[in-house]
Amino acid sequence: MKTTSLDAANNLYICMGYNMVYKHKVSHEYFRAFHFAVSQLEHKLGDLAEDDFWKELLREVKYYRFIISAAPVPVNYGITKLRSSMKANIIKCSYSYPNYVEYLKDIVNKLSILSELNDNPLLNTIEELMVSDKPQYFALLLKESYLIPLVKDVATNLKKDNIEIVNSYQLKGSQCYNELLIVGPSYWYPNYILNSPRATKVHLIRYAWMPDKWMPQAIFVRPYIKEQLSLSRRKGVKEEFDSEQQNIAEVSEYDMSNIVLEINWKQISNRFIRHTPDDHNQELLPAKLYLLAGNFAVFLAVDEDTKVFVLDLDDEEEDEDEEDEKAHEVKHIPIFKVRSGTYLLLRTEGGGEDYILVVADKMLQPDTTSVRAKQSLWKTSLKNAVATRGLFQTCCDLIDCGSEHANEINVRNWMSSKTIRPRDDRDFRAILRFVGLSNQEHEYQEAAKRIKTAHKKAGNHIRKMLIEQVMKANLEELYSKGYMDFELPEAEGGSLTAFRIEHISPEVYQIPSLRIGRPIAAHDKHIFLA
Amino acid sequence: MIRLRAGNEWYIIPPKLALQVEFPVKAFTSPSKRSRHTNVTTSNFLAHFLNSEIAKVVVSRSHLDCIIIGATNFLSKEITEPLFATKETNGGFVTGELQDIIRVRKFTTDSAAYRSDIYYTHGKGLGEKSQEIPDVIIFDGATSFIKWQSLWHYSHLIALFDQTDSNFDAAIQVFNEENIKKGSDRVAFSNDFKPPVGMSLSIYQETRK
Repeated sequence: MKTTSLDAANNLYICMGYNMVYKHKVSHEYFRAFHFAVSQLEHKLGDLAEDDFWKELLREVKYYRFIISAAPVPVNYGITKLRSSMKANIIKCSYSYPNYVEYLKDIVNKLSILSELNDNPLLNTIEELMVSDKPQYFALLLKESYLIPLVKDVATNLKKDNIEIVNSYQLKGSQCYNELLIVGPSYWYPNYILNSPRATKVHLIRYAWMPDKWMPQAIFVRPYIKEQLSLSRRKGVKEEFDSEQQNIAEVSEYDMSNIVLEINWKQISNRFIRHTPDDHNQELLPAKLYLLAGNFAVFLAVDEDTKVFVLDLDDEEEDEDEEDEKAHEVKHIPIFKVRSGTYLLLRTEGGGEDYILVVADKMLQPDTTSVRAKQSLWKTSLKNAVATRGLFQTCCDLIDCGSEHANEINVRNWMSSKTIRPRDDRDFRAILRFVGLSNQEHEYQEAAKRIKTAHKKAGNHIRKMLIEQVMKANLEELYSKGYMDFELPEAEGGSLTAFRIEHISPEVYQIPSLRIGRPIAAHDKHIFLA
Repeated sequence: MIRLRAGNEWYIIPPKLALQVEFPVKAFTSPSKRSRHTNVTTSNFLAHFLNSEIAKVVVSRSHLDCIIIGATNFLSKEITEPLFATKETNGGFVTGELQDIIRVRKFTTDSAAYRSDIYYTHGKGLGEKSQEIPDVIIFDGATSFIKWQSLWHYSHLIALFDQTDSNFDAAIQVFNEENIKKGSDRVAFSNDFKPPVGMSLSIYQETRK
């Protein structure tokens, strides 16, 4: 559990109360011209931008534009490959979209100019801000965690003891800095970064053509009067201008603010579907794609019975399985409570199966096979009936057999290997009657009861082991990298990794059960682009 | 007037104390004559913090002044670690812990007098506790406030929010809506509140139901 000392709490109040935000506009004539040319092309294309040719082309261009805008790297970073790719596209464009060749040529020309320059305007501003007579401790905040290693590689000047490159999750803790340097406009970041800052001086550094109108605002509709006074007296915003910037017209007829990369959910999901072996007999489960820190991604089932292990270091979620009245760091919570920023625990070694299943099977010994066989038999019989008679007719038949809750969604859930049995005894009895097992009802009820108990015990056992590991671990690595391995005792088989969830797909996919819960690395840089 | 039976004894409760009647957490046993006169030790820290006369009253009589709802593990550390001190006239310090002052029922030993209690935000039977009527309820965190604020109608409510909390925006929305809906504009607070610099504060009063 994360605790805050009195000293640290005092520092937090000082940062909150005596904080000043400085806005720095940075210019670069040729990068601005490139940025403008891309926005112009997008505008001219309109709906055509959705064509595959333009989507692919814009994907690469936007990636370059975002990296240069969001990270202190030279303007010619990764440009050689991009320029050759764009040159090749001019020829294709002249056949299919002749009206747009001039725009594309304009972009290539601008890329050629940029490729000759090694300027790093964001880094220059950062270095100027770091000049100080007295020792100061800085934090450099970047929009995305995946930019951190890139900046560490390229901007060697930032490898100093007095600067730490951080992500926004790290700025939730009690660590305070003298100055916080933020790359990009304020609307890229969560509200708490500026409303509850971890430094008394905060610098927002962005390219001049990206608008940012942030001002401190009262949180409450009826704030206590003294708070309003303190807000205007102590907190402030100051605009600082780059000297060159004054001479350049920054107003554009095109929207140049929306450059954050969208996630290419379709591409990631296709990659996953290719990556794992297929078996057409597998059941399909409704699942969402979760993008994890460290460029990992995983499909997780999203039906109402699915629960996942999470590290809840701030004790924000309820664990309904927890019997004592204490807050624990490891919880087993329904999937619908999982959100961006949650630390998800996934089994990364020792097989891909659900870890609870593995431990529960050990607990059921020596009757594991017979108990599981019973569960498998009624589920398979039900699936076969659905395959033969159809889902709707099976629902009707189950109702005739005495089921109270038979409908298409519930019957799908009952068939799924992810569930143990229907909650209502009447539904379970109806299924057993329907598939011809009613004469052994007691045995099947007993088997389901044993599996349920074993799963609950397994969950508690895993949680206990994980809590021990978490207590021993230095969680700083988890906060900075976004993922961390926890080795379980050898006899328990394997390790679990805590991954911070960065994004969750809005769409639900029908995914074969074998592909669920298995994290896969996504190294492709274009993975983030829509 | 309320007549209250506990074991074989009857107590008469006057109307002005009616709201202080609490349901006992453990099975009720009337105190024996001997235990009524047990000497209760007062911590030096508490005696310095208040004064010895008031401190004696505090440690000899139980009353539920306050309920705190939050993450019990965090709160337990904050309350039971000797992080505080009062300054003596000779320049020395008397150290102590918050528990000396707030006397949380959960952390008291045996039958020591308590003045407050702590419940876990995600505690199973918290709904039933709403029959207790302390002077103040403190919601420590956005989740605690969202989950339980509508349950108590007869106590003062204090909510503490952290802007980095995932449920912060939702809690502020609930608070602001309640303030607009129920808060009275005509209330003048006599106390001069001085929150730490930079802390946002809002206060409203609603008519008691």
